Amino acid sequence: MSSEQHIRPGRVPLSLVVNGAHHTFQVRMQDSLLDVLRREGWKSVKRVCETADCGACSVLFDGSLVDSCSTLALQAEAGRVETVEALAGTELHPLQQAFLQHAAAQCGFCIPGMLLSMKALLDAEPEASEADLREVMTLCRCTGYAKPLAATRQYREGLADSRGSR
Amino acid sequence: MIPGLGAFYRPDRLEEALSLLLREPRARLLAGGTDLLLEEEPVEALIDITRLGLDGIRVEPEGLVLGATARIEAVRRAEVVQQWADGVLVGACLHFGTLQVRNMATVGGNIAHALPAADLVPALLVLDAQLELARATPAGDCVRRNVPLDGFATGPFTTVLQPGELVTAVQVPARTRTWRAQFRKIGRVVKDLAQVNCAVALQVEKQRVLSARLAVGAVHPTVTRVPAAEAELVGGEIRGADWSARVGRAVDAVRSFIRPISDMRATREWRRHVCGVLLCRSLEWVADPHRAGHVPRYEDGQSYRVGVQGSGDG
Repeated sequence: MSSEQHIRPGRVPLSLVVNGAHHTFQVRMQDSLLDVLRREGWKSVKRVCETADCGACSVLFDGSLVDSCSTLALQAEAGRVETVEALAGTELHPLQQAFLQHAAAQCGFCIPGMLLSMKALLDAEPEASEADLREVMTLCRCTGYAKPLAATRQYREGLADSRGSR
Repeated sequence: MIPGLGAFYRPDRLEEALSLLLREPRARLLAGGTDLLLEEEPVEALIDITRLGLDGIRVEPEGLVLGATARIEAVRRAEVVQQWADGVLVGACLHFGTLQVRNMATVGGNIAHALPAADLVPALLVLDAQLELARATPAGDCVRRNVPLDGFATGPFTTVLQPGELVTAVQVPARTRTWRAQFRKIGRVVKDLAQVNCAVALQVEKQRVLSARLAVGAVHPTVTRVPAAEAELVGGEIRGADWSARVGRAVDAVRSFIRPISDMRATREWRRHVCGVLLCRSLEWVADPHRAGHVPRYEDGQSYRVGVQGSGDG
């Protein structure tokens, strides 16, 4: 039998690992990953532009930062998705703590996407420049960029210190 | 997103994808989806080609090979790409869109979609890139052919691809590895489609320009090279008043060749002017002997911070 998989209309099953837990969802063929995550209760993933511009729907998919609004859910089959809920363990993630210390959230709406974006950037490039941080920043409807940037710089310096002390 | 979708295929071998394309001629190929999923047009069937193992980035004796489903961000981060022709492809990848888009969008998608503003295409055109194509015959055989990237797009969103045919890889010939090259883009913001983009590549030996390539995007029905402008650059020394005069004539040749349109991003007059400015600046940069070893980054200001006025204003 061919390994080719063929999916016809109606609700179809989708297997995903979300924040470490296995799930099988019934999805519509045209659903985006954003549609599925929000319907299944991950409301930290925000629906805004739906044109891959703002970054509020950002999630990590197999470790890469993507816009869930522009990722077809079926394309994510058997993949690993992380939302902002995966950041904190028993304690907040150091990046979250830095955001708290700087009171970096105004309305807070874009913060989940912002946290994931900054973490993804600094995981890949711990020495990312100021210009890199600014480019990866999600759009904020409060226009509150200065404090999230300050918080992220502090987190970046913490990363550098922990490298230096090793 | 995607109204009317009636079938979704997830083949894991190229042969399966090709036979599906024959059986379902109305099916569209889905790779990164960053263009396709924003379309409002109904799509009856999708074939996901991201599980075919076509995402390799490697050096072969013939040159650099980028698999069709290699993600833009993976290309940007590849060491061999950073060292190839002044990192010209890194520049194109860096200014391609947001990190999220670069993590999804693919090399083959950017080429095969044939958007006149495609960012990777000018950089690949100046490196004499070739495309590897594949299709299946009704008997089930796989037919492969190579075509030059130059001439692949025949107009906005149209290409020489035959029904049932897909792009499997891009080859960049080994001889281009040491060429001097640069990509530039200007957009309303870096994350937006280009208002104008361009790339230049020069083969220089002992200060003499042996060959030149020059490509411009978002100013013509296709991303295009401008041979008349390239000819102006070849033969002389890459310095002094003679070089400056050659650059001026090349820019004039480009401005009279291109057919830009006005749209929500820019007017045709602005595009015509700025296209020359960007080329001028890139030709100045590749003439700089101190540029070697520099990997493009945002601080270079090659993109959205480029103003219309400036020293490079040709």
